[in-house]
Amino acid sequence: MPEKFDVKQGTLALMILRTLDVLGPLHGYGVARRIEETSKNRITLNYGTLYPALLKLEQEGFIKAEWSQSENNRRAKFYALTASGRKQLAREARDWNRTADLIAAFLAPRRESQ
Amino acid sequence: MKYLRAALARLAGFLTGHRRDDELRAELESHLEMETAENLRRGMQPDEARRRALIASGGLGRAAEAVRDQRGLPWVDGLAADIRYALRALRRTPAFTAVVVITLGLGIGANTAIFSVVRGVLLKPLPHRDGDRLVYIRHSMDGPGGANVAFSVPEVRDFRDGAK
Repeated sequence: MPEKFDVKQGTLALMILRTLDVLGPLHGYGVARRIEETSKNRITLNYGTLYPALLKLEQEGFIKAEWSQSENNRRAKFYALTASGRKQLAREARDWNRTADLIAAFLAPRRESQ
Repeated sequence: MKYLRAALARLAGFLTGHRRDDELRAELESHLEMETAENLRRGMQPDEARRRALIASGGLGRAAEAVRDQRGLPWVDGLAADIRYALRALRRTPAFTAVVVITLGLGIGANTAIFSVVRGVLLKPLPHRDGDRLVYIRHSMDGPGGANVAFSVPEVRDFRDGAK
């Protein structure tokens, strides 16, 4: 069983935006599956984490939701990225990469010692 | 902009969100069904498939509660619930309620009365033009009726001219 992480505040939003960017309009189940797969099952999302995050993104205008027919003829609510969501994704991805680079530089093995 | 938009959405959710409870339930239920179907496809028995899906969901009721908190203004809901609870508690203990009401009433009343006097006497300017330049003059002498002797009009004019 792989080690589980808690999803850090704010990173789930980025994962959702990216998932919708890659896969196009998707229902909550699809988003959860994709995030779990991409994380190699280190993340499991229960509904109480996923749906409030989706709603928050919808309230901020980054995604929009619409009921329609799923691939196997079930009715499901599909979420899609909006134009401002696409911009937000670019902005957040850039910020995240910068932060990661910065922290990586600090955590790099010390060269001068020994 | 993002915050304004989110705040408006939350206000709208607070006012009309309860109408979307059915929709929310349908959405969570459809997720559960898809997860169950996936478990069936992996070869589980129907009961087991549904049970596993429910465990993975973390509870539909809890999820609905979390979404409701995100949808509306949970602190307003909380405040309203607290006020209702307080009123009910007060109704159960009328003697205590009476003591509290009387204490608060007297306290507020006494403060209001004292402040009214302080304001009239000390804080409010006199109701005349240049109220701060108004003076009270008086003189007295020994003997009966001499405690406060009136001034004649020319005397008052002299004082006024001399005060400039």
